[in-house]
Amino acid sequence: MTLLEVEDLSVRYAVDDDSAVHAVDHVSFDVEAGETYGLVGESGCGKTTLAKSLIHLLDSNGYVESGHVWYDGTLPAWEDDHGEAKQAVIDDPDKPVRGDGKTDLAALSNSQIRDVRWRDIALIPQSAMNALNPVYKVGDQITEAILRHEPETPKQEADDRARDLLERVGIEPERADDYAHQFSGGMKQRAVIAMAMACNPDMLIADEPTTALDVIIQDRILEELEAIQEEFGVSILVISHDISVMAEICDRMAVMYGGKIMESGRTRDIFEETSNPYTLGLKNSFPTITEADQELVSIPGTPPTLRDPEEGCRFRARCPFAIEECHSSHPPMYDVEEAIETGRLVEAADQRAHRSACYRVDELDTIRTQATKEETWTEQTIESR
Amino acid sequence: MDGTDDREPLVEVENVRKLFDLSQGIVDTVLGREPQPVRAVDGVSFEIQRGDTIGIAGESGCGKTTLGKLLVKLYEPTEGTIRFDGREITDLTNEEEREFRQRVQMIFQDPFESLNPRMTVFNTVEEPLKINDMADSYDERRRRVKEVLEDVGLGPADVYLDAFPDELSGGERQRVAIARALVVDPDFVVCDEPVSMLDVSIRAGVLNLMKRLQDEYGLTYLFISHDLSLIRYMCGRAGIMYLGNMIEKGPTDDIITDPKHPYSEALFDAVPDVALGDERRRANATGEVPSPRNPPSGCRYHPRCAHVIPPDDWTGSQDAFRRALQFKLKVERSDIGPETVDGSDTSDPTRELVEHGLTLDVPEEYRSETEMETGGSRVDLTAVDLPSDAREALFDAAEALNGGDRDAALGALDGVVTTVCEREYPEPRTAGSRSVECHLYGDDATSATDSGVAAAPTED
Repeated sequence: MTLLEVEDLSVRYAVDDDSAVHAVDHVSFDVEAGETYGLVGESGCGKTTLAKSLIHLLDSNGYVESGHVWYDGTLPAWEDDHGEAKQAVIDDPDKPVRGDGKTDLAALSNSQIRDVRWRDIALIPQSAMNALNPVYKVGDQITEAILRHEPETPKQEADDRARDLLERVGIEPERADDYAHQFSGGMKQRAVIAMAMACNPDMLIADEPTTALDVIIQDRILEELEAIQEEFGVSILVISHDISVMAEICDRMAVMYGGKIMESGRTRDIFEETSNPYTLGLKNSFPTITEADQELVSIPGTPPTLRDPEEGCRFRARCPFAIEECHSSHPPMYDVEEAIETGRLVEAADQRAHRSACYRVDELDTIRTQATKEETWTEQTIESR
Repeated sequence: MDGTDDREPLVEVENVRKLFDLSQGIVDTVLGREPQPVRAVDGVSFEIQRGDTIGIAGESGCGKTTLGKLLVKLYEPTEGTIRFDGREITDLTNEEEREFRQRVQMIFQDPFESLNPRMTVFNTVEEPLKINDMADSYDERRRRVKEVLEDVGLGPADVYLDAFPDELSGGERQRVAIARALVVDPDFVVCDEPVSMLDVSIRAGVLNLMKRLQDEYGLTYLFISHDLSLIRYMCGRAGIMYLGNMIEKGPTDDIITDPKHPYSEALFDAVPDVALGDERRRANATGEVPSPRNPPSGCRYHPRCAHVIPPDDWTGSQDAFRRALQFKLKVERSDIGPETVDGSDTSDPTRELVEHGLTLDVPEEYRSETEMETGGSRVDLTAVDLPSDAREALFDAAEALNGGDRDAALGALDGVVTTVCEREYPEPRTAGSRSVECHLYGDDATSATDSGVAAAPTED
């Protein structure tokens, strides 16, 4: 069952002189209920912007330019007794609810989205280590979140739930009466996870959940996220630049570059059947601990500026496989299997299929072989184009 | 690092300590409390051969950056000696110090912070030449700067000379920082996390550049990183640090494929890897890194160690001893008492407390069945192979705790739950191609028969 359908979403940041930064540009993907979906990319590729835009947490100059964020759930006021959207709401053309009961989060007002945050979708912020308020007890901060979103809960019950949640993530319940500075780094991270789970959401957005943590603690937090998912059946949207972390925890993922999704599909397919020049380049450029005597090759050039970007594929300036067509427009997401089997370029109808935004996805064999060679990626080849 | 060949090492570090005193608050002064220094580097010895790249790995706060700064003389060691090219660096004449400052350079972590935003690339790279009186005329300096910029891949240099740092990308800035270090033709460069601030797609370029320049300039590197895969890519030899100690050092490939120290083992198990998929083992270490201000006695790692050594007369399993030690540590830290259990077991509160105290804070795959069922708050006593005297001691201690007497609890455990790892610091010993600071290896290893890390000191 699809929990979240992001449809052709574009997010911009306004800059002083009438231009705009195209941080997220015509992006579509689906997240299934109970799965872990990863958004991976380098800094500035739009992954955090994309995640924040889903629940209206953009900076003040950021706005959704176009597109929809269909979420399987709706506001409490629009629900019937079974938690489904009322027929009257679906029929009302002024309310952004579709025939199948999914609500367009992008069309909600700021006061409406507050009923969705935490209750339906909770965020584990990027610097979770600093997300706790230093002058309130940790337990009280979780209780506050519960009471804000479920005001009918008695105080004592909310308090008990906060302690249960802490215990659930491996913190002794009596530590609820401690302040954040009395917690170690790993415990703060766990407490923030507990807080995100306070209202039993259907979806967690985890923005770089382990980036500031040491590797042994990171290992434990990843285990904790997996355990929580198993127990509560929550979907997790993970955002990270760390490809090896993503490979380990994600069921499916999307590789972003310059505000676009370049390749998406099952994690296994992305790593074993890599079908986009950018992903291939990325794979060449990071070392793994298991391999001796590797040869790393970096992608030449630097990521593009997204301020009023030019037409054409976002990656073309750094891509050794760029052809004339790449300058005309950014390629759509082609179905990789279709391209391999029939040699035809067909836009993927299913968001869940293995997709790649590349005009040469029908020549994958050649591209994959070439991409492993160092000379393919040297600066000269690309400048001559 | 172990001086396996006859060449004279370029850098020799001998038993170096660096303690940082923290300024005391007025309350401490009034109460006459002794200042408690942070033991950032605590007795580290190693050598670096000419032309080698030595990696220093470890988690944050382990002292790796302090060690790097000691080597370039940004800090003075509290104790111990550092020799560079045969001369002790704490004891240099002014003339020798000038030479040292030219021959030893450092590349810092963050190129967004380490470059002066008001200096052009040319000024930045030229400055070390001026300070070291290395080129007489402007024209000569300009020629030399251009040459180095082209060496670090910033060519044609004319484009970059007048640029300010904010006009450059992260990768270009780090190349400028490298050029600034290399322009004086140094022998030894300390690189502190040189690529951690850079995007993945451009990291490899900087790393490969550093490798190429090592050959061209005849450099010796000390490469500091928390990222073990980078250490493996860059360094022939490596040292793993934990709380100021270098607990294992030797050839990088050997350390990674067959770690000897239980901490190294946990560290490498914790690294996620694209290739391994779901089959990865998790790190078998309890808890988190303790504060370097008050580090554990003996082996700094013993409170977290999976292979901590039971006393000679211990008849139970090693796992049982590890659990009993956790109980004792919890009592020492005042982390256990009647309030830490929910009291659901009213028939036997003492047993409940013992079963709670024996739990291990480790990943699920290392937990017992009851720990899994209770979310890690209890372990079934019958599943723990404890000798009868230890069992008695634990019950006595739990009873004392329930009576509110922590000292009596510690007294009950004293002499029963005790380990060499807690009493003595393990001096470095040889294990295979490595030098390891762990009691499992060498003479002390006799009692470690049922431990997971095989006590096999010789293999090569």
